Amino acid sequence: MSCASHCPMKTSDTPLVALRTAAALAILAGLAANLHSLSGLRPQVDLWRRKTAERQELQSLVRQSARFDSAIRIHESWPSAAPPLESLAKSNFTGRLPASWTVALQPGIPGWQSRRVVFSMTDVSADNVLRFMTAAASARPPWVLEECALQSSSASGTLSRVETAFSSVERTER
Amino acid sequence: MSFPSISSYWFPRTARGNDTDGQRLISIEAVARGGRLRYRTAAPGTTASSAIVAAGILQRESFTRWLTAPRLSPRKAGKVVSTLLDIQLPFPIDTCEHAVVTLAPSPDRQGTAALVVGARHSDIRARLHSLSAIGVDPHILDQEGVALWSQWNEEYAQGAPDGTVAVLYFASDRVTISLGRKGRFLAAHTWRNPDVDAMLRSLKPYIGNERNAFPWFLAGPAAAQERTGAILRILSSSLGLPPAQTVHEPESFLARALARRALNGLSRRCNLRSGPFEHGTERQRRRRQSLLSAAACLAAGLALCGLNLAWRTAAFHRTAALQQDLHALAVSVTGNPRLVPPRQELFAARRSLQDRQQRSRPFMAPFVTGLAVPLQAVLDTAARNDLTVESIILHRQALVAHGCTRDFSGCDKSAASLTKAGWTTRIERKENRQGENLSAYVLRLTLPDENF
Repeated sequence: MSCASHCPMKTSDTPLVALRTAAALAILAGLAANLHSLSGLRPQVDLWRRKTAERQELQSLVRQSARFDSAIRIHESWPSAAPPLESLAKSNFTGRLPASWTVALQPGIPGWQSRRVVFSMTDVSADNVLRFMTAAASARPPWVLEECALQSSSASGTLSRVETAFSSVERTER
Repeated sequence: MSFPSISSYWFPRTARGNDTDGQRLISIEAVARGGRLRYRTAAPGTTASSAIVAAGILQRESFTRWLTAPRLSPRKAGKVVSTLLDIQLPFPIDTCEHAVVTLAPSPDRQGTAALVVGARHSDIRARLHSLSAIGVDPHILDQEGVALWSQWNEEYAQGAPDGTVAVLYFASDRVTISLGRKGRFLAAHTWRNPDVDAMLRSLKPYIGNERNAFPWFLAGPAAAQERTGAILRILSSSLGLPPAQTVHEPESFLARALARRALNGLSRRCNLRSGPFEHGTERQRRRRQSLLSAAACLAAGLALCGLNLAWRTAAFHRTAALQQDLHALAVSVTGNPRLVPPRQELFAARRSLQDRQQRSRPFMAPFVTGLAVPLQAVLDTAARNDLTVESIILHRQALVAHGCTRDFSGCDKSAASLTKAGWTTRIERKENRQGENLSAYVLRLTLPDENF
């Protein structure tokens, strides 16, 4: 048996040194990068929380917007204008006409306008007033009661003066 | 050069222990299988390529020392031990190879005790040549005395008393006594030819008061010889010891020790074939182990970098996805991407919806509770509770009713009834009207802004 294995043998350590250096650099780089990421974790999580909250609020706004769209679509399915309030008043107050009557038109979104009618009556039954309001609200498109002032008279169930304001949406063109 | 598999580097499964009895080779192969060691007699020259080959350097060719260093960290203690050993040796430390076998707190806990083994270069060279002559080229050169004690500890220590134990090893060319206590190697002595007087002198200091209970064990290829029996009888009668116990398969005791220690890594800490004598395969193994360790570190470093990259990528994508969601939602509110500047999605959507809210209010009005409902409720409850209503003012936010009553409890009932229906109700009592038995009241209802 030779004694070659008993004698010192020179081996190049260059690859090992290179590997160790690369390993040390990789570990240092990895640790530094991870530490840097960890230090930025809190602001990152805060950003995500803020964005998530914003998304929730935006989703709520989208739902609200959808409700507006839905309301407009329903109006589009109705006749272009509500039945005249005057005729409704005639039928509810047995042919009596309001003491005063004003009409105002206000432009809304393109193709639509809002009609506001303010009128007053004297000496009418409270029941009749309520029935008239219900009938106005049941019309298509409906008349919406905006404001109301009632003054009762000495006679039971009778109103000496009624002032009401109704509004309705109607199309400006066919 | 072919290498064994990586697992055999980290977890070697076969080792061969080679003992010599004069020029005769005693070779035992230890195989680790299923967590257990199996020994078998090995034929010379049939070593598996992945097997670790171990042989022993004789006690007379080497030395063992217990050194006590100040209490230091293991690394520092190791350096100090070399200096202490240099002081104790009668020859320069540069002319020998040494290894620190154990490093632990000293028995008095005041310092660090180190068991050091070593051998001169000339003795190592001579031992390797003599082994080479009988066809053995060991990877590891273990120390005989330590190996003997270690094997006794492995095979007989369980249930043995705590006192000092002696292992007497007889071969045709030497006698070696290895001594230990409580699992700790104490010392070893050796002679070329059995010298009873010297053996008596060596054993005496270790035998305590209970001579009858002193455990001493007999091992080695010459254990069964008549001459050995005669020596043991003299020792026994001179020291007053009980008869020596012969170990199981005494001939292969040391070879078993060498093989087992090579397999479980103990002999690597006691390997005197180091430095200029290091075996080529061992050097390769060590080098490959260093390469593997460095590669593992590199892999760990790259994994750390990869982990960071993955995290950053995931974080970027999550942020981008959220931003995309916000933009898409804002556009669905505004209806125009140009109206949504980057990172102002919520502001743009709010502003857009605010405009639409004003313009859509007339369209939404029919779908919320009408003002006729609270009006009807107030009139009904007034009639039920005998309240006279003189006037009512009603608008989107509130209803205010003025009136009078004879019994103010009717007002309370009305207020309770309206509150129960869901409106915030407040009632104020005014002074009695002059000359009348009537109380004036003002009823206020706050209407909810439930719309839009």
